Amino acid sequence: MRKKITPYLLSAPVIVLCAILIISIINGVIQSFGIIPAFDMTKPTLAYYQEILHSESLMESIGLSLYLAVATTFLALAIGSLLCWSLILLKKKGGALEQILKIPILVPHTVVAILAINLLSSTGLLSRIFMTMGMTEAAEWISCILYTPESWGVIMAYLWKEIPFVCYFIAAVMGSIDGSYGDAARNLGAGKWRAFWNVTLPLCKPAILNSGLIIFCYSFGAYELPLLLGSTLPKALPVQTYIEYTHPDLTHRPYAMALNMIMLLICLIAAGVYYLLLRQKISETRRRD
Amino acid sequence: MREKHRAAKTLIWLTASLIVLPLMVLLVWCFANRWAYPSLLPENFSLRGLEQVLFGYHDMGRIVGSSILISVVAAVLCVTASALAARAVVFYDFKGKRILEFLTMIPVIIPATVFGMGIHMMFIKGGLNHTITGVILTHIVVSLPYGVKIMTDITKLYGRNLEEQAMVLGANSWQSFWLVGFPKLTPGIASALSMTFIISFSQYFLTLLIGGGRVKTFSVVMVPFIQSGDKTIAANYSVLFILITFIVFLIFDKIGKKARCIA
Repeated sequence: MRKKITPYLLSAPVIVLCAILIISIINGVIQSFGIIPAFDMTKPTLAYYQEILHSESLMESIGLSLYLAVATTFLALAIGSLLCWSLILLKKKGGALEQILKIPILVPHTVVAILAINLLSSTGLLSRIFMTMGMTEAAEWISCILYTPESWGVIMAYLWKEIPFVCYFIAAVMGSIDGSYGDAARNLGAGKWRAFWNVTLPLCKPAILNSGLIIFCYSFGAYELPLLLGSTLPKALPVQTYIEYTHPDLTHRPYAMALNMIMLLICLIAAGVYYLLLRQKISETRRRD
Repeated sequence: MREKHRAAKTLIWLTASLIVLPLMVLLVWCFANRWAYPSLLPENFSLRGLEQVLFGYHDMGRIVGSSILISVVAAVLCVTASALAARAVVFYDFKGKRILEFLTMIPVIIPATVFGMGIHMMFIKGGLNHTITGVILTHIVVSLPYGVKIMTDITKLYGRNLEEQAMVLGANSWQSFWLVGFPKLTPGIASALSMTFIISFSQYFLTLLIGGGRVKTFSVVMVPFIQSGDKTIAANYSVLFILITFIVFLIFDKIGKKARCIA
Protein backbone atom coordinates (compact mmCIF):
# COMPACT_ATOMS: atom_id res chain seq x y z
CA MET A 1 0.00 0.00 0.00
CA ARG A 2 1.74 3.06 -1.22
CA LYS A 3 1.62 6.07 1.09
CA LYS A 4 0.04 9.09 -0.50
CA ILE A 5 2.95 11.24 0.52
CA THR A 6 5.60 9.24 -1.35
CA PRO A 7 5.51 11.09 -4.68
CA TYR A 8 5.78 14.40 -2.88
CA LEU A 9 8.75 13.20 -0.87
CA LEU A 10 10.39 11.91 -4.02
CA SER A 11 9.88 15.19 -5.83
CA ALA A 12 10.99 17.33 -2.88
CA PRO A 13 14.61 17.92 -3.98
CA VAL A 14 13.53 18.96 -7.47
CA ILE A 15 10.82 21.20 -6.07
CA VAL A 16 13.35 22.96 -3.84
CA LEU A 17 15.68 23.50 -6.80
CA CYS A 18 12.86 24.89 -8.95
CA ALA A 19 11.90 27.14 -6.05
CA ILE A 20 15.36 28.69 -6.19
CA LEU A 21 14.78 29.43 -9.85
CA ILE A 22 11.36 30.97 -9.21
CA ILE A 23 12.83 33.10 -6.44
CA SER A 24 15.43 34.45 -8.85
CA ILE A 25 12.67 35.54 -11.22
CA ILE A 26 10.59 37.15 -8.49
CA ASN A 27 13.69 38.92 -7.26
CA GLY A 28 14.42 40.11 -10.76
CA VAL A 29 10.91 41.47 -11.24
CA ILE A 30 10.95 43.32 -7.94
CA GLN A 31 14.35 44.84 -8.55
CA SER A 32 13.44 45.85 -12.08
CA PHE A 33 10.73 48.08 -10.66
CA GLY A 34 13.36 49.88 -8.66
CA ILE A 35 12.73 48.24 -5.29
CA ILE A 36 16.07 47.37 -3.73
CA PRO A 37 15.86 47.89 0.05
CA ALA A 38 19.55 47.21 0.46
CA PHE A 39 20.34 50.33 -1.56
CA ASP A 40 17.58 52.43 0.02
CA MET A 41 15.41 52.25 -3.08
CA THR A 42 11.85 51.55 -2.03
CA LYS A 43 9.52 53.24 -4.49
CA PRO A 44 8.21 51.12 -7.37
CA THR A 45 8.64 52.80 -10.72
CA LEU A 46 8.45 52.06 -14.40
CA ALA A 47 11.16 54.60 -15.14
CA TYR A 48 13.84 52.01 -15.84
CA TYR A 49 11.74 50.18 -18.41
CA GLN A 50 10.82 53.48 -20.04
CA GLU A 51 14.43 54.54 -20.33
CA ILE A 52 15.36 51.25 -21.92
CA LEU A 53 12.56 51.47 -24.48
CA HIS A 54 13.74 54.97 -25.37
CA SER A 55 17.42 54.11 -25.50
CA GLU A 56 18.45 53.45 -29.08
CA SER A 57 21.57 51.51 -28.16
CA LEU A 58 19.74 49.19 -25.77
CA MET A 59 16.95 48.55 -28.26
CA GLU A 60 19.65 47.71 -30.81
CA SER A 61 21.09 45.17 -28.36
CA ILE A 62 17.71 43.54 -28.00
CA GLY A 63 17.30 43.47 -31.76
CA LEU A 64 20.74 41.96 -32.25
CA SER A 65 20.11 39.15 -29.80
CA LEU A 66 16.73 38.43 -31.38
CA TYR A 67 18.32 38.28 -34.83
CA LEU A 68 21.03 35.97 -33.48
CA ALA A 69 18.53 33.63 -31.85
CA VAL A 70 16.17 33.45 -34.83
CA ALA A 71 18.95 32.89 -37.37
CA THR A 72 20.68 30.25 -35.25
CA THR A 73 17.44 28.40 -34.47
CA PHE A 74 16.24 28.37 -38.06
CA LEU A 75 19.55 27.20 -39.51
CA ALA A 76 20.18 24.65 -36.77
CA LEU A 77 16.74 23.08 -37.17
CA ALA A 78 16.91 23.01 -40.97
CA ILE A 79 20.43 21.59 -41.27
CA GLY A 80 20.09 19.40 -38.18
CA SER A 81 16.92 17.72 -39.47
CA LEU A 82 18.47 17.13 -42.88
CA LEU A 83 21.59 15.73 -41.25
CA CYS A 84 19.54 13.42 -39.05
CA TRP A 85 17.58 12.18 -42.03
CA SER A 86 20.79 11.66 -44.01
CA LEU A 87 22.12 9.46 -41.22
CA ILE A 88 18.91 7.45 -41.21
CA LEU A 89 18.97 7.05 -44.99
CA LEU A 90 22.48 5.67 -44.90
CA LYS A 91 21.56 3.41 -41.99
CA LYS A 92 25.04 3.63 -40.50
CA LYS A 93 24.98 2.36 -36.95
CA GLY A 94 27.69 3.56 -34.60
CA GLY A 95 30.22 4.14 -37.32
CA ALA A 96 33.20 6.43 -36.97
CA LEU A 97 31.27 9.20 -38.74
CA GLU A 98 28.51 9.05 -36.15
CA GLN A 99 31.03 9.34 -33.33
CA ILE A 100 32.64 12.35 -34.99
CA LEU A 101 29.27 14.06 -35.13
CA LYS A 102 28.97 13.62 -31.38
CA ILE A 103 32.25 15.41 -30.61
CA PRO A 104 30.81 18.95 -30.45
CA ILE A 105 28.75 17.87 -27.43
CA LEU A 106 31.99 17.47 -25.47
CA VAL A 107 33.33 20.88 -26.42
CA PRO A 108 32.30 23.85 -24.27
CA HIS A 109 31.23 27.09 -25.90
CA THR A 110 34.35 28.88 -24.69
CA VAL A 111 36.53 26.45 -26.64
CA VAL A 112 34.28 26.79 -29.69
CA ALA A 113 35.12 30.49 -29.52
CA ILE A 114 38.81 29.65 -29.82
CA LEU A 115 38.10 27.33 -32.75
CA ALA A 116 36.24 30.13 -34.50
CA ILE A 117 39.01 32.65 -33.83
CA ASN A 118 41.63 30.24 -35.14
CA LEU A 119 39.77 29.82 -38.40
CA LEU A 120 37.76 32.95 -39.03
CA SER A 121 39.62 35.87 -37.54
CA SER A 122 41.56 38.25 -39.75
CA THR A 123 44.72 36.31 -38.94
CA GLY A 124 42.95 32.97 -38.96
CA LEU A 125 43.49 29.97 -41.18
CA LEU A 126 40.89 30.95 -43.79
CA SER A 127 42.49 34.34 -44.22
CA ARG A 128 45.94 32.79 -44.51
CA ILE A 129 44.70 30.41 -47.20
CA PHE A 130 43.28 33.32 -49.17
CA MET A 131 46.52 35.28 -48.84
CA THR A 132 48.59 32.32 -49.95
CA MET A 133 46.37 32.00 -53.02
CA GLY A 134 46.81 35.71 -53.68
CA MET A 135 43.16 36.63 -53.09
CA THR A 136 43.73 39.71 -50.96
CA GLU A 137 40.19 41.14 -51.20
CA ALA A 138 38.84 37.83 -49.98
CA ALA A 139 41.19 38.08 -47.02
CA GLU A 140 39.78 41.53 -46.25
CA TRP A 141 36.25 40.23 -46.45
CA ILE A 142 37.13 37.80 -43.67
CA SER A 143 37.32 40.66 -41.21
CA CYS A 144 33.54 40.98 -41.56
CA ILE A 145 32.90 37.61 -39.95
CA LEU A 146 33.85 38.17 -36.33
CA TYR A 147 33.00 41.06 -34.04
CA THR A 148 30.47 42.63 -36.43
CA PRO A 149 26.72 43.16 -35.95
CA GLU A 150 26.03 40.61 -38.68
CA SER A 151 27.47 38.13 -36.18
CA TRP A 152 28.38 35.47 -38.72
CA GLY A 153 31.08 34.19 -36.41
CA VAL A 154 28.75 33.82 -33.45
CA ILE A 155 26.09 32.13 -35.57
CA MET A 156 28.58 29.68 -37.06
CA ALA A 157 30.01 28.94 -33.64
CA TYR A 158 26.53 28.24 -32.25
CA LEU A 159 25.70 26.07 -35.26
CA TRP A 160 28.87 24.02 -34.73
CA LYS A 161 27.36 22.81 -31.47
CA GLU A 162 23.63 23.07 -32.14
CA ILE A 163 23.44 21.12 -35.42
CA PRO A 164 24.77 17.92 -33.79
CA PHE A 165 22.51 18.69 -30.80
CA VAL A 166 19.37 18.83 -32.97
CA CYS A 167 20.53 15.77 -34.88
CA TYR A 168 20.80 13.64 -31.74
CA PHE A 169 17.80 15.16 -30.03
CA ILE A 170 15.45 14.08 -32.80
CA ALA A 171 17.38 10.95 -33.86
CA ALA A 172 15.28 8.45 -31.92
CA VAL A 173 11.95 9.98 -32.96
CA MET A 174 12.87 10.45 -36.60
CA GLY A 175 14.35 6.99 -36.76
CA SER A 176 11.21 5.26 -35.62
CA ILE A 177 8.86 7.45 -37.67
CA ASP A 178 10.90 7.09 -40.81
CA GLY A 179 11.12 3.38 -40.24
CA SER A 180 7.36 3.04 -40.01
CA TYR A 181 5.44 5.83 -41.72
CA GLY A 182 8.27 6.95 -43.98
CA ASP A 183 8.74 3.41 -45.19
CA ALA A 184 5.00 3.06 -45.74
CA ALA A 185 4.96 6.21 -47.85
CA ARG A 186 7.89 5.03 -49.93
CA ASN A 187 6.22 1.65 -50.38
CA LEU A 188 3.15 3.39 -51.73
CA GLY A 189 5.28 5.10 -54.35
CA ALA A 190 6.40 8.41 -52.84
CA GLY A 191 9.92 9.50 -53.74
CA LYS A 192 12.29 9.60 -50.79
CA TRP A 193 12.32 13.39 -50.67
CA ARG A 194 8.49 13.56 -50.83
CA ALA A 195 8.23 10.96 -48.09
CA PHE A 196 10.57 13.00 -45.93
CA TRP A 197 8.91 16.36 -46.54
CA ASN A 198 5.26 15.28 -46.40
CA VAL A 199 5.33 12.40 -43.95
CA THR A 200 8.43 12.05 -41.74
CA LEU A 201 9.12 15.72 -41.10
CA PRO A 202 5.59 16.76 -40.05
CA LEU A 203 5.35 13.80 -37.70
CA CYS A 204 8.64 14.83 -36.07
CA LYS A 205 7.38 18.38 -35.52
CA PRO A 206 7.01 18.08 -31.70
CA ALA A 207 10.59 16.94 -31.20
CA ILE A 208 11.90 19.48 -33.69
CA LEU A 209 9.94 22.32 -32.09
CA ASN A 210 11.14 21.22 -28.65
CA SER A 211 14.79 21.36 -29.68
CA GLY A 212 14.07 24.64 -31.45
CA LEU A 213 12.78 26.20 -28.25
CA ILE A 214 15.86 25.04 -26.34
CA ILE A 215 18.18 26.47 -28.99
CA PHE A 216 16.27 29.76 -29.27
CA CYS A 217 16.35 30.45 -25.55
CA TYR A 218 19.97 29.41 -25.28
CA SER A 219 21.31 31.45 -28.20
CA PHE A 220 19.22 34.41 -27.05
CA GLY A 221 20.41 34.46 -23.47
CA ALA A 222 23.89 32.95 -23.45
CA TYR A 223 26.86 35.01 -22.43
CA GLU A 224 30.07 33.26 -23.47
CA LEU A 225 30.00 33.33 -27.27
CA PRO A 226 28.76 36.90 -27.78
CA LEU A 227 31.38 38.01 -25.26
CA LEU A 228 34.25 36.31 -27.03
CA LEU A 229 33.19 36.54 -30.68
CA GLY A 230 30.34 38.93 -30.86
CA SER A 231 29.63 42.37 -32.11
CA THR A 232 31.19 45.17 -30.09
CA LEU A 233 28.55 47.70 -31.05
CA PRO A 234 25.77 47.01 -30.38
CA LYS A 235 26.64 44.35 -27.84
CA ALA A 236 24.45 41.31 -27.50
CA LEU A 237 21.81 41.64 -24.80
CA PRO A 238 23.28 39.29 -22.15
CA VAL A 239 26.69 40.94 -22.49
CA GLN A 240 25.19 44.42 -22.24
CA THR A 241 23.07 43.34 -19.27
CA TYR A 242 26.07 42.09 -17.32
CA ILE A 243 27.90 45.34 -18.04
CA GLU A 244 24.96 47.23 -16.55
CA TYR A 245 24.88 44.79 -13.62
CA THR A 246 28.51 45.41 -12.73
CA HIS A 247 28.17 49.18 -13.04
CA PRO A 248 30.09 50.90 -10.24
CA ASP A 249 26.99 52.94 -9.38
CA LEU A 250 24.85 50.44 -7.52
CA THR A 251 21.65 52.42 -8.08
CA HIS A 252 22.13 51.49 -11.73
CA ARG A 253 21.18 47.93 -10.81
CA PRO A 254 17.48 48.15 -11.81
CA TYR A 255 18.53 48.80 -15.42
CA ALA A 256 20.22 45.42 -15.51
CA MET A 257 17.24 43.73 -13.88
CA ALA A 258 14.81 45.40 -16.28
CA LEU A 259 16.92 44.14 -19.20
CA ASN A 260 16.88 40.70 -17.60
CA MET A 261 13.09 40.79 -17.37
CA ILE A 262 12.82 41.82 -21.02
CA MET A 263 15.04 38.84 -21.88
CA LEU A 264 12.80 36.61 -19.82
CA LEU A 265 9.67 37.99 -21.45
CA ILE A 266 10.99 37.27 -24.93
CA CYS A 267 11.92 33.72 -23.93
CA LEU A 268 8.45 33.23 -22.43
CA ILE A 269 6.88 34.48 -25.66
CA ALA A 270 9.03 31.96 -27.54
CA ALA A 271 7.73 29.24 -25.20
CA GLY A 272 4.20 30.45 -25.85
CA VAL A 273 4.74 30.26 -29.60
CA TYR A 274 6.11 26.74 -29.10
CA TYR A 275 2.96 25.62 -27.27
CA LEU A 276 0.74 27.26 -29.88
CA LEU A 277 2.56 25.52 -32.71
CA LEU A 278 2.34 22.20 -30.87
CA ARG A 279 -1.37 22.54 -30.29
CA GLN A 280 -1.91 23.57 -33.90
CA LYS A 281 -0.46 20.28 -35.11
CA ILE A 282 -2.92 18.25 -33.07
CA SER A 283 -5.97 20.22 -34.17
CA GLU A 284 -4.90 20.01 -37.79
CA THR A 285 -4.75 16.25 -37.74
CA ARG A 286 -8.13 16.09 -35.98
CA ARG A 287 -9.75 18.17 -38.69
CA ARG A 288 -8.49 15.84 -41.38
CA ASP A 289 -10.23 12.92 -39.70
CA MET B 1 22.26 2.38 -56.32
CA ARG B 2 24.74 4.31 -54.15
CA GLU B 3 24.11 7.41 -56.28
CA LYS B 4 20.67 7.82 -54.75
CA HIS B 5 22.07 8.89 -51.43
CA ARG B 6 24.75 11.16 -52.81
CA ALA B 7 23.34 14.34 -51.25
CA ALA B 8 22.98 12.68 -47.88
CA LYS B 9 26.52 11.36 -47.99
CA THR B 10 27.87 14.76 -49.00
CA LEU B 11 26.10 16.45 -46.13
CA ILE B 12 27.41 13.99 -43.58
CA TRP B 13 30.98 14.16 -44.87
CA LEU B 14 30.83 17.96 -45.05
CA THR B 15 29.61 18.20 -41.47
CA ALA B 16 32.18 15.72 -40.23
CA SER B 17 35.02 17.62 -41.94
CA LEU B 18 33.79 20.92 -40.55
CA ILE B 19 33.90 19.34 -37.11
CA VAL B 20 37.32 17.76 -37.46
CA LEU B 21 39.10 20.61 -39.27
CA PRO B 22 38.93 23.23 -36.48
CA LEU B 23 40.02 20.59 -33.96
CA MET B 24 43.06 19.71 -36.03
CA VAL B 25 43.95 23.38 -36.33
CA LEU B 26 43.64 23.58 -32.54
CA LEU B 27 46.02 20.68 -32.18
CA VAL B 28 48.60 22.35 -34.43
CA TRP B 29 48.31 25.55 -32.38
CA CYS B 30 49.11 23.50 -29.29
CA PHE B 31 52.61 22.86 -30.47
CA ALA B 32 53.24 26.00 -32.47
CA ASN B 33 55.81 28.40 -31.21
CA ARG B 34 55.83 31.11 -33.81
CA TRP B 35 53.06 31.06 -36.38
CA ALA B 36 53.08 34.48 -37.95
CA TYR B 37 50.47 35.66 -40.42
CA PRO B 38 50.12 34.79 -43.28
CA SER B 39 52.09 31.55 -43.24
CA LEU B 40 50.12 28.37 -43.63
CA LEU B 41 52.27 26.42 -41.22
CA PRO B 42 54.01 27.38 -38.02
CA GLU B 43 57.61 28.49 -38.37
CA ASN B 44 58.75 26.46 -35.44
CA PHE B 45 57.26 24.19 -32.85
CA SER B 46 57.77 23.94 -29.16
CA LEU B 47 56.27 22.54 -26.04
CA ARG B 48 56.09 25.89 -24.29
CA GLY B 49 52.32 25.92 -24.37
CA LEU B 50 52.16 22.50 -22.80
CA GLU B 51 54.69 23.47 -20.13
CA GLN B 52 52.84 26.67 -19.32
CA VAL B 53 49.56 24.86 -18.90
CA LEU B 54 50.92 21.99 -16.87
CA PHE B 55 53.46 23.82 -14.74
CA GLY B 56 53.03 27.55 -15.31
CA TYR B 57 50.08 28.29 -13.08
CA HIS B 58 51.28 27.00 -9.75
CA ASP B 59 47.78 26.14 -8.69
CA MET B 60 46.75 24.46 -11.93
CA GLY B 61 46.61 20.89 -10.70
CA ARG B 62 44.53 21.90 -7.71
CA ILE B 63 42.19 24.01 -9.85
CA VAL B 64 41.63 21.24 -12.35
CA GLY B 65 41.08 18.73 -9.58
CA SER B 66 38.59 20.88 -7.71
CA SER B 67 36.75 21.77 -10.92
CA ILE B 68 36.28 18.10 -11.72
CA LEU B 69 35.16 17.44 -8.17
CA ILE B 70 32.67 20.33 -8.22
CA SER B 71 31.15 19.13 -11.47
CA VAL B 72 31.03 15.50 -10.36
CA VAL B 73 29.24 16.47 -7.16
CA ALA B 74 26.84 18.69 -9.09
CA ALA B 75 26.18 15.87 -11.56
CA VAL B 76 25.59 13.24 -8.88
CA LEU B 77 23.26 15.48 -6.87
CA CYS B 78 21.36 16.59 -9.97
CA VAL B 79 20.89 13.04 -11.25
CA THR B 80 19.81 11.80 -7.82
CA ALA B 81 17.18 14.51 -7.54
CA SER B 82 16.10 13.88 -11.14
CA ALA B 83 15.85 10.12 -10.65
CA LEU B 84 13.66 10.55 -7.58
CA ALA B 85 11.40 13.03 -9.32
CA ALA B 86 11.25 10.85 -12.44
CA ARG B 87 10.11 7.94 -10.30
CA ALA B 88 7.41 10.11 -8.76
CA VAL B 89 6.16 11.34 -12.12
CA VAL B 90 6.18 7.97 -13.88
CA PHE B 91 4.92 5.69 -11.11
CA TYR B 92 2.41 7.87 -9.33
CA ASP B 93 -0.57 10.03 -10.14
CA PHE B 94 -0.74 12.98 -7.82
CA LYS B 95 -2.05 16.48 -7.67
CA GLY B 96 0.41 18.97 -9.09
CA LYS B 97 2.10 16.40 -11.30
CA ARG B 98 1.55 18.53 -14.40
CA ILE B 99 2.93 21.58 -12.63
CA LEU B 100 6.02 19.65 -11.60
CA GLU B 101 6.64 18.49 -15.14
CA PHE B 102 6.32 22.06 -16.35
CA LEU B 103 8.55 23.43 -13.58
CA THR B 104 11.40 21.08 -14.40
CA MET B 105 11.48 22.36 -17.97
CA ILE B 106 11.67 26.02 -17.00
CA PRO B 107 15.48 26.21 -16.57
CA VAL B 108 15.66 25.55 -20.31
CA ILE B 109 13.62 28.66 -21.08
CA ILE B 110 15.21 30.97 -18.54
CA PRO B 111 18.68 32.10 -19.56
CA ALA B 112 21.44 31.39 -17.08
CA THR B 113 22.24 35.11 -17.04
CA VAL B 114 18.74 36.01 -15.88
CA PHE B 115 18.83 33.26 -13.25
CA GLY B 116 22.28 34.20 -12.00
CA MET B 117 21.69 37.92 -11.71
CA GLY B 118 18.32 37.27 -10.10
CA ILE B 119 19.58 34.93 -7.42
CA HIS B 120 22.83 36.73 -6.72
CA MET B 121 21.54 39.01 -3.98
CA MET B 122 19.72 36.17 -2.25
CA PHE B 123 22.91 34.16 -2.22
CA ILE B 124 24.80 37.10 -0.77
CA LYS B 125 22.25 37.41 2.02
CA GLY B 126 22.24 33.66 2.56
CA GLY B 127 25.99 33.47 2.77
CA LEU B 128 26.19 31.31 -0.33
CA ASN B 129 27.94 33.89 -2.47
CA HIS B 130 31.57 33.10 -3.30
CA THR B 131 31.14 29.58 -1.97
CA ILE B 132 31.49 26.24 -3.67
CA THR B 133 28.05 25.26 -2.37
CA GLY B 134 26.47 28.23 -4.08
CA VAL B 135 28.21 27.47 -7.34
CA ILE B 136 27.23 23.80 -7.23
CA LEU B 137 23.63 24.77 -6.47
CA THR B 138 23.38 26.98 -9.54
CA HIS B 139 24.96 24.30 -11.72
CA ILE B 140 22.38 21.77 -10.52
CA VAL B 141 19.48 24.09 -11.28
CA VAL B 142 20.71 24.72 -14.81
CA SER B 143 21.27 21.00 -15.56
CA LEU B 144 17.97 19.91 -14.03
CA PRO B 145 15.89 19.76 -17.25
CA TYR B 146 18.41 17.47 -18.93
CA GLY B 147 18.70 15.21 -15.92
CA VAL B 148 14.95 14.97 -15.48
CA LYS B 149 14.31 14.35 -19.16
CA ILE B 150 16.85 11.53 -19.41
CA MET B 151 15.75 9.89 -16.16
CA THR B 152 12.05 10.20 -17.02
CA ASP B 153 12.66 8.63 -20.42
CA ILE B 154 14.49 5.65 -19.00
CA THR B 155 12.10 5.21 -16.08
CA LYS B 156 9.17 5.22 -18.51
CA LEU B 157 10.94 2.69 -20.68
CA TYR B 158 11.13 0.03 -17.99
CA GLY B 159 8.17 1.11 -15.90
CA ARG B 160 7.40 -0.73 -12.75
CA ASN B 161 6.49 -4.08 -14.27
CA LEU B 162 9.73 -5.79 -13.37
CA GLU B 163 9.69 -4.43 -9.84
CA GLU B 164 6.10 -5.52 -9.32
CA GLN B 165 6.93 -8.97 -10.59
CA ALA B 166 9.81 -9.19 -8.15
CA MET B 167 7.48 -8.19 -5.32
CA VAL B 168 4.95 -10.79 -6.40
CA LEU B 169 7.74 -13.32 -6.20
CA GLY B 170 8.44 -12.30 -2.62
CA ALA B 171 11.00 -9.48 -2.63
CA ASN B 172 10.29 -6.53 -0.37
CA SER B 173 10.01 -3.09 -1.94
CA TRP B 174 13.64 -2.12 -1.25
CA GLN B 175 15.01 -5.36 -2.72
CA SER B 176 12.82 -5.11 -5.77
CA PHE B 177 14.04 -1.58 -6.37
CA TRP B 178 17.74 -2.06 -5.68
CA LEU B 179 18.20 -5.48 -7.26
CA VAL B 180 15.74 -5.31 -10.12
CA GLY B 181 14.59 -1.78 -10.95
CA PHE B 182 17.77 0.18 -10.32
CA PRO B 183 20.12 -1.85 -12.56
CA LYS B 184 17.76 -1.27 -15.45
CA LEU B 185 18.19 2.47 -14.97
CA THR B 186 21.99 2.48 -15.11
CA PRO B 187 22.37 3.35 -18.81
CA GLY B 188 20.14 6.36 -18.24
CA ILE B 189 22.01 7.27 -15.07
CA ALA B 190 25.36 7.11 -16.88
CA SER B 191 24.01 9.24 -19.71
CA ALA B 192 22.49 11.77 -17.32
CA LEU B 193 25.69 11.95 -15.27
CA SER B 194 27.76 12.64 -18.38
CA MET B 195 25.37 15.29 -19.65
CA THR B 196 25.08 17.14 -16.34
CA PHE B 197 28.83 16.89 -15.77
CA ILE B 198 29.51 18.57 -19.10
CA ILE B 199 26.99 21.30 -18.43
CA SER B 200 28.51 22.02 -15.04
CA PHE B 201 32.14 21.77 -16.16
CA SER B 202 31.48 24.12 -19.08
CA GLN B 203 29.68 26.76 -17.02
CA TYR B 204 31.33 30.12 -17.22
CA PHE B 205 28.88 32.88 -16.40
CA LEU B 206 27.32 31.35 -13.30
CA THR B 207 30.65 30.32 -11.81
CA LEU B 208 32.03 33.75 -12.58
CA LEU B 209 29.11 35.58 -11.00
CA ILE B 210 28.40 33.41 -7.98
CA GLY B 211 31.95 32.21 -7.42
CA GLY B 212 33.42 35.66 -7.71
CA GLY B 213 37.15 35.31 -7.77
CA ARG B 214 37.08 32.80 -4.93
CA VAL B 215 35.77 29.69 -6.65
CA LYS B 216 38.11 29.03 -9.54
CA THR B 217 37.04 26.44 -12.01
CA PHE B 218 38.90 25.41 -15.11
CA SER B 219 36.32 27.06 -17.36
CA VAL B 220 36.65 30.41 -15.64
CA VAL B 221 40.45 30.32 -15.50
CA MET B 222 40.60 29.46 -19.19
CA VAL B 223 38.68 32.44 -20.58
CA PRO B 224 41.29 35.17 -20.00
CA PHE B 225 43.75 33.05 -21.94
CA ILE B 226 41.26 32.83 -24.81
CA GLN B 227 40.84 36.59 -24.77
CA SER B 228 44.56 37.22 -24.47
CA GLY B 229 45.54 36.48 -28.03
CA ASP B 230 48.22 33.95 -27.14
CA LYS B 231 46.74 31.20 -29.24
CA THR B 232 49.31 28.59 -28.24
CA ILE B 233 48.38 28.69 -24.58
CA ALA B 234 44.67 28.96 -25.28
CA ALA B 235 44.94 25.91 -27.53
CA ASN B 236 46.69 23.87 -24.84
CA TYR B 237 44.05 24.75 -22.26
CA SER B 238 41.29 23.88 -24.70
CA VAL B 239 42.73 20.50 -25.58
CA LEU B 240 43.23 19.73 -21.89
CA PHE B 241 39.58 20.67 -21.27
CA ILE B 242 38.30 18.42 -24.03
CA LEU B 243 40.52 15.55 -22.85
CA ILE B 244 39.24 15.79 -19.29
CA THR B 245 35.61 15.88 -20.45
CA PHE B 246 36.20 12.90 -22.70
CA ILE B 247 37.86 10.87 -19.94
CA VAL B 248 35.10 11.58 -17.45
CA PHE B 249 32.57 10.65 -20.14
CA LEU B 250 34.33 7.31 -20.62
CA ILE B 251 34.49 6.67 -16.87
CA PHE B 252 30.76 7.27 -16.41
CA ASP B 253 30.07 5.04 -19.37
CA LYS B 254 32.21 2.21 -17.96
CA ILE B 255 30.62 2.53 -14.52
CA GLY B 256 27.21 2.38 -16.12
CA LYS B 257 28.07 -0.80 -17.98
CA LYS B 258 29.66 -2.41 -14.91
CA ALA B 259 26.77 -1.57 -12.61
CA ARG B 260 24.39 -3.17 -15.05
CA CYS B 261 26.42 -6.36 -15.26
CA ILE B 262 26.87 -6.78 -11.54
CA ALA B 263 23.15 -6.87 -10.97
